[in-house]
Amino acid sequence: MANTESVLRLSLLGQPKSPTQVTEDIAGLLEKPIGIGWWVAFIPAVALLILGITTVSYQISTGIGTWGLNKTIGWAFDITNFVFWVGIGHAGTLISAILFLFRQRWRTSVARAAEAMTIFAVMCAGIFPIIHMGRPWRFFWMIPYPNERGSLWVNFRSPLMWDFFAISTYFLISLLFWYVGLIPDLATLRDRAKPGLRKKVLTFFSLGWDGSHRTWHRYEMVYMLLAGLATPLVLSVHTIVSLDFAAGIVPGWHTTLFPPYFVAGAILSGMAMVLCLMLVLRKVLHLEDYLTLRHFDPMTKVIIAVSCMVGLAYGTEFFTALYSSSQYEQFIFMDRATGTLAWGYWIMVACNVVIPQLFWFPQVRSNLGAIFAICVLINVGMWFERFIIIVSSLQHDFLPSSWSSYTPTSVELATFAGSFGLFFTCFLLFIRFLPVISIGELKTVLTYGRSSGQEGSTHAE
Amino acid sequence: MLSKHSLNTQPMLLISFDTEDALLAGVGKLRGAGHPVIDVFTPYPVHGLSEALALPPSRLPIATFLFGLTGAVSIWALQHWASAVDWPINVGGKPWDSLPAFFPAIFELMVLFAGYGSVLTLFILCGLWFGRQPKRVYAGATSDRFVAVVPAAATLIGETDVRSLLRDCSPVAVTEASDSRTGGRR
Repeated sequence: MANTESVLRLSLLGQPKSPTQVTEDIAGLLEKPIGIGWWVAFIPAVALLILGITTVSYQISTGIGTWGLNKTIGWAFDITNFVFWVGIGHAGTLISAILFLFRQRWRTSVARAAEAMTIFAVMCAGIFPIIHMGRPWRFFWMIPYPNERGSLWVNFRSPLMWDFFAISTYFLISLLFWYVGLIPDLATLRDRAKPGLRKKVLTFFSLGWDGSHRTWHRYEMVYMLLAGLATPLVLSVHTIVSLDFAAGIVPGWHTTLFPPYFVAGAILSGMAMVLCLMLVLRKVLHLEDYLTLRHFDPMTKVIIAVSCMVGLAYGTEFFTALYSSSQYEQFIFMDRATGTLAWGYWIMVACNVVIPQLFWFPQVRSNLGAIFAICVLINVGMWFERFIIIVSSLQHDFLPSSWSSYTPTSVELATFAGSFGLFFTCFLLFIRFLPVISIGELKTVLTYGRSSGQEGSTHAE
Repeated sequence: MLSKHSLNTQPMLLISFDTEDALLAGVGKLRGAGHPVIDVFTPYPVHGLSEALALPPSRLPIATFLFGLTGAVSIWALQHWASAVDWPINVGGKPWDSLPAFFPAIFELMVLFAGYGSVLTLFILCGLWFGRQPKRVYAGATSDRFVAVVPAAATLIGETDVRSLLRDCSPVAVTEASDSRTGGRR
């Protein structure tokens, strides 16, 4: 049909698509046999997952003596990995909720996979505090329920308790947000599926969705409400994670800077992880038309912004220590930059603050290989940030006689590797069975069949 | 006024369009000529359609607010009762009823209740539930067709009347559907 492309809307896609093509392209990915590339990724992921399950079983049955902790350093690898994974999760909610409220149309191509990343990252994060308990089978003691011990209630004033509420709410709301977004797409898949088990499962989860506008009308309202609820939620989650540290009196932790510092760091690591995953998906699933520089460019700009915020936080920490005239504070920051863990500190500064500045150059922002390399380095740097914050503060605390050092054991390293196994196994299963790009939402930003030049948002207007 | 429920009982005209522009123009024409459009089945939310169908704004935020309030008040009450009444414990000399320290849990439970409550309300209002079949499958409505539904009996219009009315909007198909459903139970 002639004249169905709006000249006033700038296309987000590599080439203009009609709704029919979008359905064919995205749903079609799930209907043809999966390529060898998927198996090449899936088998190592499952192998790592099995390694993780084995080591977690071993350390639970043997005891936490299998870790490299000592009396001085009571938190190290588990909590580092916990904060690392929670941080990664944050970009998913940023893209799905905050950018939704800001009407960023480019988010439509990335939101679904980013939300999936959030859910799997929070699952990985959740495992670490549970195994860190030492007796994980008593996990349910965190839940305030009437019990036979009194009832002895949990301490609601403790940041660790707030963490329990924050992480579980975050997981449940992310899951809900993701599922609500999936319902129309599941109906699309259902209507294309041949009779059989797949169709039955899709019918079950698509809830009888028929595309009625009366339903869409309310659905959009709920989607916007969920985005509005998830936005302060995501900020609260990493704020509360940072309060786990800031509420302690340990030098290097006891600072009011921590909540914004942690939130910025979380968005930096999460955005980097989203970019890594998207670049791989684009290549492997041949989504070149759907994930273009118009998607990657704003994400790299977000990285510049949060990287500068993180750099500012690193500087502010030093200034606050200097200004505090507390010799313990001053010592710990000098020790971070020049002491035994200085190598880790400078990896962190280089990867999180210096290298991302390359994104100021348009040539770097349009070079997908360079984006991928920088994002991998940011993930390394952000892991080191948490490690440095935790271990460098604990190892050299107030009493030099109790100073110590920490090296992870093979069990801890294998557990960390296992968490990557869990993450990638889940993610690969997701791209195998569910549409990686929101079919319904993408159609709202197409140029097809629209003469009005009004900038469309995603769902709600 | 005709409601969504009349979809099940009356013969209907299903008018399919293949672009958003044609749909909006067509719905405007139909309503302008006095034919009630009961519903439109679309692959994505079409902006401007709610206004074209004169749907009132959703009152769902009221449900969200009430659920959020329930969550916040419940966890506040539990924290207050557990920490200050049932078994007060001195933690670092803080008062029994340490309201500022109770806020993180109050906030989280507010979000949790408001989120799940809103979605539950949506499901109930729109008749969505696990395992349900769609009442009727409108060809292409979950992929690339926009299907407007007009009751044939109420206005005594037929396919030819609609075709001439919508000449400029080029509907791709106009079909008559009885109340027989393709989907099963409801």
